[in-house]
Amino acid sequence: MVKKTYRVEGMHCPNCAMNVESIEDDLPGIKQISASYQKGQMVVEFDEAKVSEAQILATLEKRGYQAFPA
Amino acid sequence: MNQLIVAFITGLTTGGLSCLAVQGGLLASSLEQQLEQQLDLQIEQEIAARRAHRSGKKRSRILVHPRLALPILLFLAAKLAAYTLLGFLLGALGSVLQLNAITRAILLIAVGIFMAGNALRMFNVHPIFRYFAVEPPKFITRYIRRTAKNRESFFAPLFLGALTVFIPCGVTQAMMAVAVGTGSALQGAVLMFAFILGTSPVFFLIAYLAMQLGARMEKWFMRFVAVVILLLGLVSVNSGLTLMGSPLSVTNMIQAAKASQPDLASAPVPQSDGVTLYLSAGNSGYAPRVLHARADTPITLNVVTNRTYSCSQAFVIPALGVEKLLPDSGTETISIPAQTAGTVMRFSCSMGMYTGKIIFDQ
Repeated sequence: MVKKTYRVEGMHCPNCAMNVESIEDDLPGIKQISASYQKGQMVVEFDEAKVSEAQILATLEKRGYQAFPA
Repeated sequence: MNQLIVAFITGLTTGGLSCLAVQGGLLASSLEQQLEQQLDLQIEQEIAARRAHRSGKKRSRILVHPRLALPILLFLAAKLAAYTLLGFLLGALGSVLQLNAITRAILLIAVGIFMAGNALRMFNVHPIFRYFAVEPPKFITRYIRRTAKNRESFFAPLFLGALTVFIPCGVTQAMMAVAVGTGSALQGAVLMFAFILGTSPVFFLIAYLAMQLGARMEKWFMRFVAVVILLLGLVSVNSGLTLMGSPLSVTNMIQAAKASQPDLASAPVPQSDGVTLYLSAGNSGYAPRVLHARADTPITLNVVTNRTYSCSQAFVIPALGVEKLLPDSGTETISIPAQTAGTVMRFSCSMGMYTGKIIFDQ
């Protein structure tokens, strides 16, 4: 289990943070995700055996957000 | 009444699309079941059409009209009810705060700064402006998200429509602040009702036509919304300054520039003699806009109304702490203690829209 912080681009309102967090519905390997519009970042705790960082970033990109390791 | 029309039109123009950008996902979730059914039907028909084509029959395309209108309407009705209730509570909060002219002025200025800050946030001027956006608590967003996932037929649109109250868009947040400013539960409720009612046609139309704002269009649209919010914010700050009696407000500056223009009186009033002053409060403001009074003498100000049904009925003299709700027809007498020569006493309606001043001469 790893916990990483990412800078997220493309969030233009607080509800975008909700959209970002909703990737946990698609990726069961995510244990916990918390996004903040105000800070422009997200903290993800995930199981590397079940989901890769690349998968997380690709899922986010499909929803219109780009994440970079902070 | 004017405020309600402005709220409705704001909803109809900027509010609808801005709210859709924020809450559209929730609506989409509640419609997901219907959309899935539509997709299944389309796939079945597509397969049937292909089979028919292979067997030499003419290929026909059947359009599917899913029953989307009802869930969208349920969603919007629940949203309307929830926001009307919210407006009621916000208005009640405003009335509990016992708003006098100065606190209302401060509130108007604060609302204006909040709106302008939100506009600058939308322009992406600096990340610091992101703090002007109110982030709902995590447990609420998580709950909304889970509910959207586990929806059940018509209960979901109703419930999710009501839940939009927790994720208001920028324009809605601004309108909520105005609802507090009304200082009345009923006015707050009616204001929010008018605004959300205004947002509904756009919401319905776009959702029904299943149109989506393209990224490019959305960018331009958000800029347009930001400009509107910025303007509304500046108007709010200006109203606050006017209500404080500040000569720095645009209204008072324009009034100073227009001082030579004739006044529009709705009720004919007797000529003021410097000690007994007459002021007409009409539907489109006060007349005369400039009164001259004798210095160092107690003054009697008679404010005359004649079928006046505008905000000029809420008469305020900030310097004296005078706040009167004038009858729609009649005369209200206000005693003004002696003032030194050169004093300029400003008066306005409670929202700072209509203004005027009394100049004390020797």
